[in-house]
Amino acid sequence: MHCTKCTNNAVYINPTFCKQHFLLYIEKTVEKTIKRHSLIQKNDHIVVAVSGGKDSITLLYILNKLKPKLSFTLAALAIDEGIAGYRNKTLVTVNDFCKQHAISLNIVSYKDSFGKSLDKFLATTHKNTKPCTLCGAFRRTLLNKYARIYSASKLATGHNLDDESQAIIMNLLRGTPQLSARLGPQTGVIEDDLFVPRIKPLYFIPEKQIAAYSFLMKFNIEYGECPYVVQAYRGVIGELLNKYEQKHQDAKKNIINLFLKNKKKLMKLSIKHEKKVNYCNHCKEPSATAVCKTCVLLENKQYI
Amino acid sequence: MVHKMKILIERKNQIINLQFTGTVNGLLKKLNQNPEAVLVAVNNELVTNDCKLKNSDSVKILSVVSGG
Repeated sequence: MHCTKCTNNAVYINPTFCKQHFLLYIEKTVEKTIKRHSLIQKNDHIVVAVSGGKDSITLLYILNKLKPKLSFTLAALAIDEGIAGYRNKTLVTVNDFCKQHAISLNIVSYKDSFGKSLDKFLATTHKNTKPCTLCGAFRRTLLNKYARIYSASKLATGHNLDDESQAIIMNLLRGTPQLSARLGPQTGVIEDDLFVPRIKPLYFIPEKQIAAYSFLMKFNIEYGECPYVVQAYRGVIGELLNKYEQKHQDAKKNIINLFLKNKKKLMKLSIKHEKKVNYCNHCKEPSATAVCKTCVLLENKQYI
Repeated sequence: MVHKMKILIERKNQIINLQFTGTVNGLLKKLNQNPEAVLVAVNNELVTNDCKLKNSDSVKILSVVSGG
């Protein structure tokens, strides 16, 4: 099969492009998303949450490339959860990548922040807690806190079209569609000084296209996955959506588009529930409740 | 000597040696792999699912699922 823009062999179908046109297409899509959704303004300082996986490395690479054109500054922030045999490897990728592209990098660990690695929490005090529940809450807290400490005007994450369509379906199936108001290319229902706004420049790009971009760019990435991911509900939904997409092309894109059309209605619903930001009684970080989820999960609150 | 295609299924870290004639799409069906969830590289080049395979090819099936 040939590229739809030239006579070279295609490396990807739908969109059907050769290597050169495919790479250009992905970069243009990111730029278009940033401009259309006003994700980045002139003089913004963007902190990119980076794990060393294909999504965050692709995001970091493309933002670094767009930096002079869109006049913003950039730094990377990585969270070391302490997952033996997985995160230590991906952090090597992050380190090497940031060195190679002269990007400033800070690494914050669960061990330093909360006293124990994720592995240790799950093996000792939190044996019955779902890994992603614990890890997600801790990670969200640290990303917001350290993005603020490192003077970010926006925190950019590598969420892609698959992540977002999965989240929408998960919220629907759990009977909490109002939680989807927190989703979208730029997130956060209520503004607050302690909250760093989050942006998702890869929002409209499917996971498979990001994997193809990362492969073609020869980013040195291990295509492995977190050992705890098999226990995650998200994985089940992701597999279902991929099976559905196989028969009904663009299903995931249609979920996103339908959601974006109805986001304003969802936001009205959500604001009724979340009128103002509270501050956690223990750690003083912004929270929807009197004690934030991270502090509730931490049995010993002295670590915060 | 009969040539067998060398296939690496990266997610399972599994190597299969197989005699196969057909396209990438046919191979994915045979191996019960969802084309939406994988990329296929033949001799280290990314290919589309209509690509015809030879038994001398070295095939990598790469999972596209996020690492977490």
